[in-house]
Amino acid sequence: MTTVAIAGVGRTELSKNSGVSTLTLALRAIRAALDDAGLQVRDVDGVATHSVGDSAPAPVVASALGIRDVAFLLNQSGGGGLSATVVGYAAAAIATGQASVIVCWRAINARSEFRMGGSGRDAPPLAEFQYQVPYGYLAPPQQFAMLARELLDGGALDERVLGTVSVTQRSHAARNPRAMLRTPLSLDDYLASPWVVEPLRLLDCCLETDAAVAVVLTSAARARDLARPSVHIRAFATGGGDTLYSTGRSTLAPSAAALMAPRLFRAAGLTPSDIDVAELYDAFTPLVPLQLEDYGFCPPGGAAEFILAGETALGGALPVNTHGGHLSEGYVHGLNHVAEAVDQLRGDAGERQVAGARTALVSAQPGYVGGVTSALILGGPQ
Amino acid sequence: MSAALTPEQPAANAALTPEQPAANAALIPKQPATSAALTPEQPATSAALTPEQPATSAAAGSGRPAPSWRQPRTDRDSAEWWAAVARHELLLQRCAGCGDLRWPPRAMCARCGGFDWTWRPSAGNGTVASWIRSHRPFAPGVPLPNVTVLVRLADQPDLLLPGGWTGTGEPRTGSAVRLCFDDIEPGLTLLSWEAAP
Repeated sequence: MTTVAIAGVGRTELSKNSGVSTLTLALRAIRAALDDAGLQVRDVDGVATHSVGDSAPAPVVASALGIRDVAFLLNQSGGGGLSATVVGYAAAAIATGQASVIVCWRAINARSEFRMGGSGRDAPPLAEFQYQVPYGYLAPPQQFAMLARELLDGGALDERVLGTVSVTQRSHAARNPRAMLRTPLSLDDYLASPWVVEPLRLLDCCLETDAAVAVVLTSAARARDLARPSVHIRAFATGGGDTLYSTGRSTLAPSAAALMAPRLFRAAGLTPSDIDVAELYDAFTPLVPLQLEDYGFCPPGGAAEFILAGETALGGALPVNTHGGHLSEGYVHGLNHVAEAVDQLRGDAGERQVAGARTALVSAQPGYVGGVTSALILGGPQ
Repeated sequence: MSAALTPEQPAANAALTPEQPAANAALIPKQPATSAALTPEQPATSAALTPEQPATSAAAGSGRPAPSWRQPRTDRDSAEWWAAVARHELLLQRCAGCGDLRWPPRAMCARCGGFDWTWRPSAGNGTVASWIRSHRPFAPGVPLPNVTVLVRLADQPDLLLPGGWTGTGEPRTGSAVRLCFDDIEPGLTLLSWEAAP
């Protein structure tokens, strides 16, 4: 099978008010990614994005790019569980010869237009929400607070662990000039931050951000002749099944990622110990310890100690969310995690560079509640 | 209606610290901290929202009131279940093939693939699987803070149902609870839970 490469990365500024449409954000990020790769807009024959009714659809973006015969078009409806699928399905299309250059992006005005956190907008149009919206229980922080409570009361986590996730990622953001929040935090700052939904505090929650991120995919053979060192897609997997109300499960965790992870590593021919850096979907702090165990970076029950020992910090055994993540860099619904992994593998990460990073894992939302997840393993330039 | 009565009404604004800009979250209402909503006449905790208000705003121009946001958006799978709740009955589906109980209502058994089933009443006993206390106005008209529980039914321990909390004090994970029905308004009954005696 053809090896597929990420040949370029593009980003807009991360802000609280972009002042422009999501279409404009998408075009800016796509153009920046093509510039990075040394490709032209006319080279693009495939487009891929996902949205929750909050962004310019893929066909509109394809038209705005001037693509008249779109060889691959992916316009998925869904949220954070899909962030890696946009890249993964596009890679499959290139590997099978369906398209040759595909741009993948996510563009959102998640602060100034469509509040990602849920305040003042409708619940998702999913049948299961009818059973919880009437109680005022509908927003993402509430969903994840329900999970956090089970983990906290079950003894798997405590507030120091969640606080350490927040503090550690802020320390990474402090080394990232793009990050929205760079002021260092202490555990006391975390503990003093106000409740949003008990047991989650303000500093357990991601930002809401206006931004777009794009990556350009092409075959590794073609990428070899382009402007930048290319990053190879070693493996992609998607998985899921359970939702909050699925029968047949006895706990809220484990998440779908725990079921999927063995397939992901098998596809790459790698094990968790081969991963040098992990960019883990972090809409809320509890997702980090959860995924450290889902993906086998820690044994069951071992994530708390791993985090408290500083192993997820730069310089630790497995640096996690080296850009600051959704908690501190900004929230681009997972695609900024893909972009950060590319930076790390190309050696572009500046003060936050993980020395010698060769292999990265990037995860989407691990599937808790919504039931869908996805992830990528990326390899550095050959 | 005035701008101060929008659903984004910030019970929360006051909680923002300077080093935590509005970028952080989900949580920060559209109203700037300087808005009238935070003046003494309009305490942040009031939220100033009765259930009727959003409904009337949604109905603007249509000439008839929109349904309250608290009215469940029932579908063809769930209508009978909700009708039972209105009668103060909790129903579960029981698969005729394998006997597995399921909720929420669906046509097919995910365990055996069977389409034959019957309703089975539940006594409404369970334990608290998890619970949350919301401090932000994610929905209009909910008094804050607001407790929501997720209950594991005694009928079959993989059945999880959300609901309100009628009990005094806070729920405790793992503790026994029983169902009580909450008649919110004419035509709207929801599940609520209280500590088992």
